[in-house]
Amino acid sequence: MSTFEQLLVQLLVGSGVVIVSYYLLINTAYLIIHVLGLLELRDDVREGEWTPPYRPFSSPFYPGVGIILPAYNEQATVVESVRSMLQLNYPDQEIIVVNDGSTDATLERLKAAFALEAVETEIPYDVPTEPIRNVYRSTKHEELLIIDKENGGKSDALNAGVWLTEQELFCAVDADTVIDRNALLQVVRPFLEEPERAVASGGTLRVANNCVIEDGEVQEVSMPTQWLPGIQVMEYLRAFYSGRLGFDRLKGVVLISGAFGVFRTDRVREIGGYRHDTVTEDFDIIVRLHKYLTDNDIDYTVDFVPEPVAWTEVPENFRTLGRQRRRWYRGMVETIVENRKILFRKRYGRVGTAVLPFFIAAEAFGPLIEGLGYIILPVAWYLDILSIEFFIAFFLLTTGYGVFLSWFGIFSEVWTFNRYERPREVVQLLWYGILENFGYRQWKTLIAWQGLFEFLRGEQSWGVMERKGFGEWTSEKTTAAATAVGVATGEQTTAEKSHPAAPAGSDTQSTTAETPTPTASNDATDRRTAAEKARATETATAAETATTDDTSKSADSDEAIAATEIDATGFIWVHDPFSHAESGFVWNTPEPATSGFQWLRDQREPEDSGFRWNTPEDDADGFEWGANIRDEEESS
Amino acid sequence: MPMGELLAASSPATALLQTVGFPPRVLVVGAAVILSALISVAVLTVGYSIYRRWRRRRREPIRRALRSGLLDRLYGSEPPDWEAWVSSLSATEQSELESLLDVYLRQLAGEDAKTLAGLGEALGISSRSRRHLQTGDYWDRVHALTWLALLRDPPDRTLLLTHCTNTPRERALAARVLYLSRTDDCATTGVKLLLQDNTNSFSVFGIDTLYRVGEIDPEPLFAQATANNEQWKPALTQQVLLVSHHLNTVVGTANLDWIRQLLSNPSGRIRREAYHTLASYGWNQQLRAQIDLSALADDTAEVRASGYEMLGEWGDQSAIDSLCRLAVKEPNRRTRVAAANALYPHRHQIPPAVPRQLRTAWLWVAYHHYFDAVANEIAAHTASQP
Repeated sequence: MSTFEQLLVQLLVGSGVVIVSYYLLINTAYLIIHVLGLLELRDDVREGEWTPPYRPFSSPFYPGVGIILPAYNEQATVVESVRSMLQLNYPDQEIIVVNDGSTDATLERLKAAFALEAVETEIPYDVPTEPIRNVYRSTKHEELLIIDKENGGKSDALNAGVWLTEQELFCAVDADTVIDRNALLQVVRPFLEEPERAVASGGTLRVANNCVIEDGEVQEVSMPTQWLPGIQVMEYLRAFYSGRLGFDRLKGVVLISGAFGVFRTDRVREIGGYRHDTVTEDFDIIVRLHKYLTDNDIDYTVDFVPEPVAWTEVPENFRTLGRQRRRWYRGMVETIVENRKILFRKRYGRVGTAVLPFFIAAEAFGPLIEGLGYIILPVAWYLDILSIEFFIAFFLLTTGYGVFLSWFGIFSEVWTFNRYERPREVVQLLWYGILENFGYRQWKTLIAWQGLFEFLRGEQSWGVMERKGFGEWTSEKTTAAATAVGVATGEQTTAEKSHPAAPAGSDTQSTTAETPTPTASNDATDRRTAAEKARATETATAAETATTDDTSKSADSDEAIAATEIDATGFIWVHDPFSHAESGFVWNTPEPATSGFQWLRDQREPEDSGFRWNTPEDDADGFEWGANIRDEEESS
Repeated sequence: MPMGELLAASSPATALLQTVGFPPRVLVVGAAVILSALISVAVLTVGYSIYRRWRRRRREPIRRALRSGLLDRLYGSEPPDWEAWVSSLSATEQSELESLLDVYLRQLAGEDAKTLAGLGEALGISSRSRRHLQTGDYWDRVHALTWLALLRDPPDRTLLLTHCTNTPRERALAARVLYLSRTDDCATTGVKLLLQDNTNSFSVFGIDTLYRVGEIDPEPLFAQATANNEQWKPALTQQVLLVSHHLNTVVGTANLDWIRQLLSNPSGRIRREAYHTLASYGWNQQLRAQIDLSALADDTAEVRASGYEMLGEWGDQSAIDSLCRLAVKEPNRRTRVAAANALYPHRHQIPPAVPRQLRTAWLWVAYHHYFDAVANEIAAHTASQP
């Protein structure tokens, strides 16, 4: 054996020792977390079984909640989402939809469905976001407020809501999330129990694929028919009913899902709101809240409540799931790097000394180390130092242990909430706990490595999230109703959280090209509205006359778009500047008078350029990145 | 061949295992442990799932039948003979009936609730609850107090004062039992249960309970506040202030000096809450005369906003003039909106020309008031439609 080979062997054996030791440590910690999670779940169930003998809806002490719904190109689902929010059981709520510069008919749909009227005056205080074009109020629903702003990404949209709500608490939700009708009442429980200490609280996120959704509510829970979303059901159960509950037991919740979490409005404003330069703003905000509140010696709690449930659609193909998981990984690393000063500092309590270090070791390093193992194995085999017997024994043990932990999560669900009522579905879940170890788990390590490289490359895009939309799983009755109000219910590609400028992320659009459906308005209502508006304007004008002329709004939304840079006609191969991994053919036309894509560059921001679909009749300005390009890519 | 022998027979494997520090036997034992754990969890999970499904299917028809039986007896022409009915039921049915009773007692009030309480008695809930108060653990006591509250069945006060003051939740539940039973000593004993020797804050349920007993008679609450507010934790002081803000039954002779004194508390949150509370006492000229309005120029914007709200709630010309003077000098833009909000309902009491400094906030508030009015009117109109 040459010296090089000896060195290599030593290196491999050394790596093996490190990997096995790491495995032992991390899995012991996981077991502890899972047991703590089970204890916490037992207490939560006990707590949930007790309902105080009073009527919350007649109590003047329930904290008000502003539900903030960022929407970017959500024309297909936004109206139904808002209707669903309006039906939530809660004594004092406000719904704030933030249209984050959508390029589709999101705003028009909202205007038509909820009889919106603009608040024709400027916002009287500073809102640290991209310019707000207009604020709308519904003349039908007192509690509905729409903010129409320039595109700035999801964090920016959330911040607009946080700054404009007057409610003590706000609830961040995704436009494509379905929330159980009583979920808000349940998720605020920590704020009811400890009104002075609670600053954030999150509920459980479950998989909606294949569930029956009617009137914006999940009516029947079913397992997805495909195995990929099925495995994700099991992953979500494991993450929420074991991981997060365990952290909750340790008073160290560091992550509340961006799809459903409640926060104290003033505390989030104090830390400057959501950060724009991260793709996992939900993780980032919790870590920053921990840091800020500890630094300022403020007594607080961040809680996880297992019972309130929000439902989300998970990806059904590897490509979309890969994008999502890469983004999660990248965002996690970003947040950890950004908040590294918390680590191993006694001052930050269990969060700094135990929870975050464990989180990093398990979630950040875990898949990377496992991935390394998969590289070392064939090399060791090639060098004839791999004991196949040892490998098989080790693989079976690790897999068995992993399956045990997954089944622990499934048992927790069956023991407590038992939403999957059919034993056949429980068996299916157990099977997915085994199946994930053969191919899926290995694939995830590859994704983690890709995520790491994306982070190192400075990748900032959100990526496209393809969704079928909830319509496909709803009953015929609901589908018909949804269609009647102009909601697309068929298979479609929607942009989940794909706010393009967040942070300079990739831009996607819905491929549905429906026109907004105007709603016939009630004549009497219109007359009443006009008369009232005249009266209010009178009052406003009286105020205005006594003041300066500075009444113009700051919005200067017309973009300056200039030179066509590519003058060839036909298909050309392009790269999406926001996401280097994305590229494809588009049909280009140099003639503004004909239909086709035109390459345009924003004069004000030379780095911002892209293709825009041009029609001779279309005189709208602006860029339209995304779905069209990807459609071409798909077909090619 | 067993795995241990298999590993032991292979020299590279043994070498590596020795390097790693694992004797093969450990792996074998580990495998056995994991395998048994897997089998146990799988059997437990699937078994429990099957059991729950079976139980659900069994209980659903029972519950339906019980519901119909309960409503028939509750609203029937004959007096309900709960004792006879309960004695004819199996243990499972009695347990299901208890769960139904819990649902209906929360929804019904008055005579219906009183009649239903008889069912609780027949099910033995009252006696069981009293027993649990004396000998049960925390959760036993909490559930016992909840039942007694729902059944409007107050136990002996000594029992409550001795066994139910360990935590703010038990205190609130004990006071709620008295409130829902409308006992004569509801306010005095209720406030004693809630606040005597207690410095900790309450949950929203506790705050609501304090409010309910305070509404019946605020004197004991104010007496406790006057005597003990300095010993309370800031969070409890804020909560008592909040309750005092909502009280509608305060009589003119109540001593409210403690609220005024809290205006100079070092905690901004308490000062803010104190102004908020005083907003409800504009009718008390004697109290108002003692308030130094110059203190409204507080360093904390939230405290100033609360002060503006107070002046707006008082609403007389003198308060509105003060509010106008302060509002134009307000440096914080968000607080200016609070000032405009406080002023807007009194727009007829102020000159038509809104000061320049307040213009943007005023327009914003005006529009929102208009939209609130429109939406409310349309909602009322829709609700009145057949």
